[in-house]
Amino acid sequence: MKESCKETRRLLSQYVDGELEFSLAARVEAHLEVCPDCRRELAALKALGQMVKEKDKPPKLADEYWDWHRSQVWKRIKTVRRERQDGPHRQGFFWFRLAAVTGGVAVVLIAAVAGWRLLRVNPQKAKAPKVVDNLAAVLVSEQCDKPPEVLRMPVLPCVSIDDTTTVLLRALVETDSSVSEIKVERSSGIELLDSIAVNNIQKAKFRPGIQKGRLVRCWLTVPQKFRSE
Amino acid sequence: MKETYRKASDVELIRRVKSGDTRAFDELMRRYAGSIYRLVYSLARNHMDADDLSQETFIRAYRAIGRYDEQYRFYTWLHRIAVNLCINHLKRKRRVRLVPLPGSEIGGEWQDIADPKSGAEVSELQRDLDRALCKLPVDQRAVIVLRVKEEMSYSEISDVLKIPVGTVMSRLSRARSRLRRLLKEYLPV
Repeated sequence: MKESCKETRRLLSQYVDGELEFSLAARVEAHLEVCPDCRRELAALKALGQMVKEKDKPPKLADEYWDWHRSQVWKRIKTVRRERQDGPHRQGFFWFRLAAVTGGVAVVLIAAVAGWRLLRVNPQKAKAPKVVDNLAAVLVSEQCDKPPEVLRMPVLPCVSIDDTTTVLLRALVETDSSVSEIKVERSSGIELLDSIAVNNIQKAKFRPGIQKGRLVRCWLTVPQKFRSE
Repeated sequence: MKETYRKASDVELIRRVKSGDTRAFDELMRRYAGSIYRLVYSLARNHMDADDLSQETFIRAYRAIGRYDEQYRFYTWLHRIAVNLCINHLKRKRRVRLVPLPGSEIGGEWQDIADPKSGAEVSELQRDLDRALCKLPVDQRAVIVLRVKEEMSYSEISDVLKIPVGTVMSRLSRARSRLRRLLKEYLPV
């Protein structure tokens, strides 16, 4: 096929539709005058258009069909309306689903917060060295890299005395956090107060001391201050 | 009473529909159901889809009648609804491959649903034309129907199908070449 024929065939569809711009249409017409093959192609395209337009027809339907068709449209419109009126049920279902999803999210959040808090209550526990050296010599708190620490100390009762009194105690904090020995370093002078202070230390909670990355037994000085009523 | 509706113009009927008169919409359906069915059938190529889509066109039109702009012809508005519905339907359907049952053929239902009183007989040419149009891809079939049967301009087609005018041109050209090959025995050589 010649180059000019190729170009004409490319433009022929638009030419048949009358959508080709004037200068291009003039070129196509000039070529058609001299090319019988392209003229036949044009005739074929025109015949094709005519055929599609005239011969492609849907089945001719009976009048009863159109009455039925209209009645179906009304039926479907009414169904849609009914579904829309039923809307609140679907809306209720929506709220139920929303509540279920929100509840699920809340449970996950609570679990996450609780876990985080549990880890934070005793962060040292998680970080504490796992190797325990029970045979290590007993140290005093000043010798430790990290001296024992009071984690929880019960509040001392108020007593009927003239002035504030302090009992100075020394507690031997074991590597398992327990207190194995308590010594009265400086007495208050009142035996009852000393025994209350010792009892209090027994109820207290400690974190053991750490020396060179190992848990160690360590003496800790703990003052117990009694206030007057 | 029936005569009043028959004589009323489209605009008059639409105003009545807007004020809640359902009989006015019934009259509009009576006027345009045939044209809409023909358009939808040309695109869908089967009665079941054409029946369903033409009903759906009127349902959508009824629901959206409040938004109808009276400066356009009612048929143009309906036409646009029908074409969009059809194109979306065919694109969805394209994803599902239909396997014909043994013994059945494309366009074979034509005579089953036709009005026996119409006396219309399907010629060999019509059958072959139906088969050829069925074989066209949906995109090409849409442009050929809108251009040749609905006589829409390229810019109108581009507007309805939301594609550039250049794409309309190339799709039309490809559609014509394919139909030309499929129907060569009926066309001048």
